[in-house]
Amino acid sequence: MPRLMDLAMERLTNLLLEMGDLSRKTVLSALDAYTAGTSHLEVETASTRLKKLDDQVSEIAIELIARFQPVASDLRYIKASLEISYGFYRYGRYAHDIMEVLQTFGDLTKCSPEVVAGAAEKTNEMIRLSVEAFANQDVELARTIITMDDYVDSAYRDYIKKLMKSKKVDIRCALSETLILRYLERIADHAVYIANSVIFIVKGEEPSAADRS
Amino acid sequence: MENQSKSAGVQHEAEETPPASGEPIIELTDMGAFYGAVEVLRHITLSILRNKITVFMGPSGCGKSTLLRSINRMNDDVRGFRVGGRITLDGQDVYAPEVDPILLRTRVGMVFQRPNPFPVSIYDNVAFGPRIHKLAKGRAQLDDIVRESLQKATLWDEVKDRLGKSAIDLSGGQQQRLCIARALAIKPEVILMDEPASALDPGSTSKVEELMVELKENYTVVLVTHNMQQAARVGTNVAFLYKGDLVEFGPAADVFENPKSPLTERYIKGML
Repeated sequence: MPRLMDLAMERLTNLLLEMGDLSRKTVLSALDAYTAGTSHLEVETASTRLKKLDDQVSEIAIELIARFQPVASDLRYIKASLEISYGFYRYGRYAHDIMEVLQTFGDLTKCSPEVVAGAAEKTNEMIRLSVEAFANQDVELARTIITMDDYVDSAYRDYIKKLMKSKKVDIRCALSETLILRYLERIADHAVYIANSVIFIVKGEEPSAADRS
Repeated sequence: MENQSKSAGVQHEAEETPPASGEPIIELTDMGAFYGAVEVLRHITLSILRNKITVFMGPSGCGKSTLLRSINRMNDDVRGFRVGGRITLDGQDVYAPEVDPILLRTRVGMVFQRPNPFPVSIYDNVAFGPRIHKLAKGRAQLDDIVRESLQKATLWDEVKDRLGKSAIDLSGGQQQRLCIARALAIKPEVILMDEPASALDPGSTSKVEELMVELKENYTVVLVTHNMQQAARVGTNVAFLYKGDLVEFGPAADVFENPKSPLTERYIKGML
């Protein structure tokens, strides 16, 4: 027989799954738009929707705590849900920021999309895995995500170093690519936070050094 | 990787998160309890730390009240009751032949589930123990003990102008704090509390819980409750008992956030 709180817990999970799916598609759309040099209006709509879903998750989590005083794995799940929901919302927000780069800098067809291609591919994979790790409560997948973060961090830092050494740069390309790499680096960070939360839900503890290696 | 922002969390009274360490005042070693041939507690080994709140929780019939009452030998007069293993208070076996249970109870006081004031005045309720045990040399000293005990039980301001009135006229919450004052008046080191707030409304419950936390500054508190939220709010260490076995014992935060035993997890989640 399900407990009274199970209905609300199920709703929390369904909202998070919806957010995971929507946020993954939104970042993909934003990166497609950047590569193609066209604007995707649905990114803006999805980003706003993700904010509303994040608010809903917070409301349900607070209501669950107030009404049912959850403990043990229930409490850990609710705590982690807030973190995961915020992570999915931030995916959408950075997708929105990527679109703003397009709007601010205008035509970027003279720039080389391949500069950010490697980091974009890795970040997309991290997003996909973070959604999957949460959906399946998969600690191994979560650990994989954590180990992928260094690649995206390095891509951003290495590009900055390269720019510093360049004698001649196209300022429009340099700025837009720096911003995109920065947003990808932040998205990857949020993927790691989500991975940490999955490990916390399952194991009841913050990720250990072994989880990070 | 940048610093991860922290979710808002509820700050509760700072308690130790690793197993609460401290000086044990009561130690149970392989303790067991029997009513006739029925074994109601088995192989209980744990330390109750001085100036901490230790909570025994578990479903009805798990043996938590028997465990509590064994500490100050309240079950001595129960026909067929006996204790196995060892319970020590400051290293002294409380069941040793030379230990006087009456004197033991002056060191280990008790507060019961339902407030049980004597049908006499508020003053006489508190003065009862000190008179019996001759703790006061004259009226002035007795007055001091009564006032101090009522102050410690956070009842003084509410009753100081009507000490001669009947204790029965007090509210349930006030009666329970009067019983705590009565227990404190004999200057115990340990206070055993058996579901002290189960018959009280939320406001009175809150006052009794605040009082427990204040009392641990000067006393050791051992609490029996099946109210998990109460155990989580006030407990330093929490023991979960099930069908006479000690299933888990650890700091309250660990037991309620990350219990080691699946049985504890099921109990606190309301699934047992």
